[in-house]
Amino acid sequence: MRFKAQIHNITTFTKLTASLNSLGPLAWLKLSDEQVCFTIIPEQGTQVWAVLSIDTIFDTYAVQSAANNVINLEVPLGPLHRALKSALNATSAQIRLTKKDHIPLLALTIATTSSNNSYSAFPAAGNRDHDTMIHDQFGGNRETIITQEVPVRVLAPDTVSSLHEPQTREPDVHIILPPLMQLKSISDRFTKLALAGARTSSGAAATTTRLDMAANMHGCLRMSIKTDAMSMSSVWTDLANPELDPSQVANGDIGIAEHPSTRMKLLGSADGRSEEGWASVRIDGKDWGKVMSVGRLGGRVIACFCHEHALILYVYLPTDGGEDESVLTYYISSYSA
Amino acid sequence: MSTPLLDVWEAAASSPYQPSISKDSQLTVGAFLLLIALFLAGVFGLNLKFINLPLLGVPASLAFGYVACFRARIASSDMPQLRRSLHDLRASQYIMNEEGDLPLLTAVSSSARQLYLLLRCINFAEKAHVQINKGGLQFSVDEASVMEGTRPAPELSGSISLSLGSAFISKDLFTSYIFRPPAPQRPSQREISDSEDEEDEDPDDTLPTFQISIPALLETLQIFGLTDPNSSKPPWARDNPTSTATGGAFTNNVLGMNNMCRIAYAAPGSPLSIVLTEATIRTTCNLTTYEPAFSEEIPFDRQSLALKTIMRGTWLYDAVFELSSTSPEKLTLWARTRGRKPYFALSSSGTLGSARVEFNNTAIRPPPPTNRPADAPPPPANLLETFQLSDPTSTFRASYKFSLIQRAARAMSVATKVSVRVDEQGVLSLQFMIEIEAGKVSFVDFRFVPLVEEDENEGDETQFLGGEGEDSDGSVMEDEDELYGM
Repeated sequence: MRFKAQIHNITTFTKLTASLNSLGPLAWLKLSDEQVCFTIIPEQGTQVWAVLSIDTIFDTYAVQSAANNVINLEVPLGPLHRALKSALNATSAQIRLTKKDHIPLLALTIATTSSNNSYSAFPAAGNRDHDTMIHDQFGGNRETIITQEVPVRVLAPDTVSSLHEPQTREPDVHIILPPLMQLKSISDRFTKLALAGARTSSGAAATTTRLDMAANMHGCLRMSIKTDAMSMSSVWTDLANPELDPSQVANGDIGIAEHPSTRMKLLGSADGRSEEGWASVRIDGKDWGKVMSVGRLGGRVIACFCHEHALILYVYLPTDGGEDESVLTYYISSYSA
Repeated sequence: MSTPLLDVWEAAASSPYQPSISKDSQLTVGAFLLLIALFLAGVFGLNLKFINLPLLGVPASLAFGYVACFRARIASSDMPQLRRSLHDLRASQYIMNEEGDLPLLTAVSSSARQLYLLLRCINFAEKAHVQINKGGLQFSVDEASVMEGTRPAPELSGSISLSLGSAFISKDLFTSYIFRPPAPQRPSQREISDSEDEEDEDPDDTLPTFQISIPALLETLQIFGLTDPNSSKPPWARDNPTSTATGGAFTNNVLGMNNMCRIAYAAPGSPLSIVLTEATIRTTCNLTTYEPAFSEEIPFDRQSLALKTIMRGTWLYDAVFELSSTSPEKLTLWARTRGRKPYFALSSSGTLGSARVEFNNTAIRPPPPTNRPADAPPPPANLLETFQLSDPTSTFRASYKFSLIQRAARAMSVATKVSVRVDEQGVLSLQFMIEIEAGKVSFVDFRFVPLVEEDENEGDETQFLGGEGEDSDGSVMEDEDELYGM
């Protein structure tokens, strides 16, 4: 069982672990020849199934195992994220699977140019080139190697074979979300409001905040919350509803014609004032805020609404123009009213 | 994107376009001008001389021009499509009312931030009373305390307010403010006979009054700007290339359509709805309105004032802020006049000790002993702009609960001026003048009930005053003068 890779996009990897870490402490990391999969299945809340193309974060990538060159690991995200943070200013970083005292480890080997980088009089981040130049001049280009070890657990193929992506019915509405950071700032305000309202009223019953998210097939997204003191809703208009690809839908064109979203297209209006044609889900405000933290990766997000059932977010990570996109899939189930 | 159009309509309702020539007579005037123009042009054509150019040619072309202008106006006023769509919009707005009545209040503001700044000053309780009247919206917040058994009459042992803050949002702060007062309950024939009387007698309770949650309202008004990640930066530093590429001169920002805030109150009992529009996001907030709770107004007698002084808000804020460091329980105001010199002090006392901040009016002090050059810059504006004591011979003193006064701290920090008034009963009124925009001032009022003076405290306070008791303070004041002179 061998795994060794060069991390070529440390920033993306760090942001990714940070946003995954907010949803759960442990991730199932599946390494195979074609892709890297992160899966988080918390006790309660949102599941994430992330499929990354190897190029997204790794460079020279080698994985070997008896089981079809697939390695399944259980990775604690917190330590991994902290380890990656120390690599932010690194010139190169390498990750490999090793064993120390019979404990499997993910060893992160980070090479930085100079040990006094963070203590230098010049701001290290901004002036790195300058810094290096000076050190080169005086022959003081001291390379420092930092090794971070993250203990992991190797999962047997049998253990993970029972894990499957959640099955959902065909979505009623699919829509491209506005920038997640924008959405997050408003949803955070909503949750804050609901909590402020809860403090004044009796309390315990209202400690969980339920956001009502809805969308229609005419480019509208609605987020609303209702408390004793107020009801509030924000409506986004002029969003895009991506067209379905007949090759991806069962039964092709007939499948599209019978697709729930085609039916939903007939209802509702583009200004978001009509009460018809909305597919809505009820989600937890805090959980939603955690999901939104993936916005820092700045990808395109398509939300699929299954009315009163589930909300599925597909976050496409921006790539350098490569064909194979990396997708993070968030499964958020709807609470009953 | 229909709401901004509606808002433009609403905003335009207050300033309708009045043509210099009424629409009905435009056709006649135009035809007449056209005739004159044709006649003059004909004469000019027959007699092509240079002298005729100013005499005939210019008036003819002017007349033609005016006719063309009228035609354009007539055409524009007959744009049926636009008018119909606007009418539909208005209609759809009113459909929202179940009974088909017009809403009691519709107000559009392009400056939710100003509303926020004003209302933030009185954000010290959960609920605020709102009263809608012709001139604007009156928000008042009171801190009530339950009196337990201290009053003999059980029917009076309800809650009485100890402090009261109120902010008046004048209709000037709105681009459009339409208030339709509810029809009075009385028979209508009286209204015709003596409408003057009617207005005088019109009791306040016919004006719509309700309670809303003020933290919720403030949070709502803050939604603005959240969606713009660059709002903290100045416009030139924003890295948003699309705004110039797609919008150019007609972006929402330039047109002032951003941050449009529409407040509507349909009928008594319905929620106060606030609609915020920003780019392609529309946020609707329905604030539940509650029945107004009974609470006693703090009576303040403007006619018999014991003390009145006006100073800068920040100075009062600094003083109160200084005193708050010892977390005192009590704040005492001291005021007296000694030799035409006003003296004003704030002192605090609590378990950790006592402190005092004095305001000395430097401007009225006698010329300093040191020989100053005659062309010295004039002394700075009076620390205390106005200073009036009903009884200048004695020292004025009144005490208040410090924690209550601190409620007004935010208002103090933003106010340009504050008028401190105390009536004969000891009720303190702080009136803050807040300049939220150049030239536009708003007022926020606070009233506080005094603490009852206790006899045993009296001795302590005189001691605490030390040498500055009523008899010996002259010398101390002289010392201060010397300090100033040096």
